[in-house]
Amino acid sequence: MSAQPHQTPAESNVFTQLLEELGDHHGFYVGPYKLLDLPIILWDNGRLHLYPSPTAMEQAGLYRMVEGHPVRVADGKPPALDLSITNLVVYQWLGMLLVGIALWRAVRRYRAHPLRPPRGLQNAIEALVVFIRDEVVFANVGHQRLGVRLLPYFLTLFFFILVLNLLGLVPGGHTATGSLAVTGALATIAFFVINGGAIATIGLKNWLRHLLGGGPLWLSPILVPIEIIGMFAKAFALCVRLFANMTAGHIALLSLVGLIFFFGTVLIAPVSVAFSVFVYLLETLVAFLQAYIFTILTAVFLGLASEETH
Amino acid sequence: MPNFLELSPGLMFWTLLNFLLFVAVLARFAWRPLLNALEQREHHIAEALRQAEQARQDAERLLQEAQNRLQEAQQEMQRLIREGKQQAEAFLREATEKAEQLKRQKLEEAQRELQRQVERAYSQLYAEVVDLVLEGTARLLHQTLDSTTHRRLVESFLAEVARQN
Repeated sequence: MSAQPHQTPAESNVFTQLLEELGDHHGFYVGPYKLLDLPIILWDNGRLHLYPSPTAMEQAGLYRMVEGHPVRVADGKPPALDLSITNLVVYQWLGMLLVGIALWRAVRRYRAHPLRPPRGLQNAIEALVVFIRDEVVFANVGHQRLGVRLLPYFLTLFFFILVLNLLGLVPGGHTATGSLAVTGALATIAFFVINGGAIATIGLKNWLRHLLGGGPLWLSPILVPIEIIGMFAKAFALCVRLFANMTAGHIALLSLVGLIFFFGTVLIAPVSVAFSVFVYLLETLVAFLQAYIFTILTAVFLGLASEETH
Repeated sequence: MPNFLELSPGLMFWTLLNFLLFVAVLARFAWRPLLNALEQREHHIAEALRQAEQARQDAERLLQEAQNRLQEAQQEMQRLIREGKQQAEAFLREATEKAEQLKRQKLEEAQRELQRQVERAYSQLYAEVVDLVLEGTARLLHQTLDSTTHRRLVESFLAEVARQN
């Protein structure tokens, strides 16, 4: 739908149209408006296909866009791997840029006056950093050295998720963390951090012993599968929790706005606006909360996994 | 399936790449200096607090010492004053006694001297009176005169004596 933002939403498909806003797109969008074409990168038939834009791709004749996705002209099937730079990738870069600038400014001041009290932006960053360091990582990762070594990961994780959540709340912004692929990638890394950190700390043997769940050996046929499922379930839960929280708020907002079209009257607007403001504020809280929860749960899981055998 | 529920491998790939790069870059250029600075400042503050505590204790100790010294000095001063008073009193008493004694001595000497002078004067006077009487008598003996003449003679003698004295 994003290609035609000016089309009057018909009552029948307004929700579908609004929901499609939440997805990923080929192109950089602010709100429903496309600002930039983004390059298409396809891996297909054993070689890489690079196009500066979807238009250029269609002109080249091998692929065409169908419902926002490139497909082969020849048989109408999607390519083996679509590695295109999409809207949410650009939003990640935007977020990284913002965090980078903020941290750069803070670090510059730390370098200039390492012993002065922090102020302004530096103070806000320092409060978050100290909180993540002491309350999230060191409090939950029992192994001190492991905590120190993984501190950069946890700090980056928190700020990455936070800035992406907040970018989604900026009017016109798209929420990268409201996509399963993004949260899935973060959860995958968390999975490797949790188990890799545990193996590095307590050794492979002790890590495998964790799979017994502390039960007797004859229970292992039941416990080992459960523990293995649990291992993946933790990462899966991280992935879905963040995705669902970020998406749910947006859907609630869209639904409230959609009510106006659903009832076809402007009289419902005050109710929609009042509830939207409430949900929007709630989402702001959730943006911080979910960044915190993802980080602290990863730390807690890492702490549990890297414990010496009970 | 709605667009937003898709699990796009491309987006996943880019997210992995972005995030891992972000971790690497931030770890090197942001977190390390930031955490180091934090630690440095925490050390600095802890050190400053420790020093402040040390300084406070030192100051307290010095104050205590100063107060002790002051008290000692006051006690010393009072002792000195007391002693000085006693000494002064003793000195005064001694001096008074000495002066008294000296006075008595001088007085006695003076009285004795006076006595001597008086005695000498008496003896001189006596000798002179004797001489005068002798001289007068001698003159009386040398001239046998009437009573009028005696009278005149004695009167002239007395006048002479008066003139001489």
